[in-house]
Amino acid sequence: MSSTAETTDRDAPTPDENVIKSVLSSDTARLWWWRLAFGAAVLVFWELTSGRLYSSFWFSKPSAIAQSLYESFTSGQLISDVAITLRAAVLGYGFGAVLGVVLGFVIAELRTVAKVLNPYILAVYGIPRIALAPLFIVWFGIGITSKIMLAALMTFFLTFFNTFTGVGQIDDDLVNVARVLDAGRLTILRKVVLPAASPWIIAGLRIAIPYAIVAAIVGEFIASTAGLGFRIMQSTQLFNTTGTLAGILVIMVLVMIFNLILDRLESYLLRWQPSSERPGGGTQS
Amino acid sequence: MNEQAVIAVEHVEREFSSRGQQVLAVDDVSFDVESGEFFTIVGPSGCGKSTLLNMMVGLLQPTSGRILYKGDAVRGVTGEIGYVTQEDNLFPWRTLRKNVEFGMEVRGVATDEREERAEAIIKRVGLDGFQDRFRHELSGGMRARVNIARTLAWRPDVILMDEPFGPLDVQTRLQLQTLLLDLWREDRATVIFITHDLNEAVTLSDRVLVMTRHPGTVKMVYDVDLERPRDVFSIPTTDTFREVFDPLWDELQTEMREDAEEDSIGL
Repeated sequence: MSSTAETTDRDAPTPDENVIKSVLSSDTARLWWWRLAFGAAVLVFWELTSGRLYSSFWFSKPSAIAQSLYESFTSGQLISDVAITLRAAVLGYGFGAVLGVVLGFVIAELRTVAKVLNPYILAVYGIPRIALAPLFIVWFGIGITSKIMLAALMTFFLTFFNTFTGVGQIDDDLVNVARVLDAGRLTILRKVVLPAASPWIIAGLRIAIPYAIVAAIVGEFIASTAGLGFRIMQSTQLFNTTGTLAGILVIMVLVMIFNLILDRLESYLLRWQPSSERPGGGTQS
Repeated sequence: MNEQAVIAVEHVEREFSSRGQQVLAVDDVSFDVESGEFFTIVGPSGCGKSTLLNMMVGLLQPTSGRILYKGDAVRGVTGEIGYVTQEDNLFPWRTLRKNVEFGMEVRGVATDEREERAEAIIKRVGLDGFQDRFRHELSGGMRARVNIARTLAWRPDVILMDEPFGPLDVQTRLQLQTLLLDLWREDRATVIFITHDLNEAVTLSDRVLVMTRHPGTVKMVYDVDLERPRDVFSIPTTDTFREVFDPLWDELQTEMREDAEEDSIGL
């Protein structure tokens, strides 16, 4: 009779998970302490040297930035600026991501079309997209539309390219598993191609987040009447370095929050994959 | 043509183009496989064994000749022949259980029955307790078990197997051979098995087909008259086994030697 798997497969990964978890958590905790210590050291150094080694007019200092942030928060302006910028970024990201994933998928699946368009796709991918920003203001006006379109453009390219590549990378042997069963084209796309490409698609979606936010802000730099980008530009023109740096800090925090959310989502969706195999991933903590 | 043949291969040839040249991979191969038979094809590396299987399952078309499945010419994937490939090709995004269910899912087996059958076959191949593991959490031997289980699960009449135990260590291999013979006896499916290991071929089969080196053609088909059930651990040491094995080995080693002399791509 057949033997059991336990005796056969001695190399099966069955480690004592508790031991690993406790080692991991103490390591992670230590890592975070070092990270916080580094950040704090930089801030303290900045605070102490500003006004002594260099002018705090040009370089500001953490306490002044905190003060400025507190004031704009209590006046309600910070919230309203963040809301305006985020609305453009999120709407643009949504449009761009849907269009990018769908088109990337469809074009990659139509093999002949993919072959014909490949050099063009590479060429367009190579242009500095931010250089299109002024043109977008001309096309779509100084309102929110031009910012949405800019964020959508950035997101579109990153998600499109990643999806296109991911679908192109698919292992024919995996497709054959379904083909042998006489599975229809739609079934193969849904049950084999899509999950096989999902690490690429998700990586594209994650990479696009900071780009979408930056695109909205660049749009506001060029022409706008409100939003974080507008506020930063206004501060800079008034030589208010504290205001500029406060705005940059807010952007940084926003990008970090979104990255954290998508990191969690990615870990959940790709839990079937050893993290070392993830394309474009594994760089976040 | 044999009346009982579930698969009939008739004068099949297959060419591939390589660097602008037509290369013959399979040369005028004919044989019948009877229903319920354990039929093994053995031959040196690169003799077109896998090409033959790909044609039987319908993924490839013969350049000339034809293959009949239950009397009808195979003109593409029929969806009725199971195929256990050399690589496990498990879907890494599906758990073990979901991989086993895949075939039934595609073929529209109702959820309740699907889960029940998957559970039964998983237990049968000795993987109870590992149902929710992903591919990277399974060992090579476990993956080979899942690879076989997921084909058996949708109950094809004919199962093609392309060196499914190739990369495994000897102990795991013998255990899986035992399991395979048990499953075959229970299911009474027709198995067409490919290996380059003559020991394995004689141990498992009713008949062994020896192929020549490239371009592959049929050298001989040999009846293995050994009693069943067979104990794969001890059968190679018996005299009756040697009586079958030795003449076959004489044929096969000529092919392997000539192969090695002509080019040194390993056996």
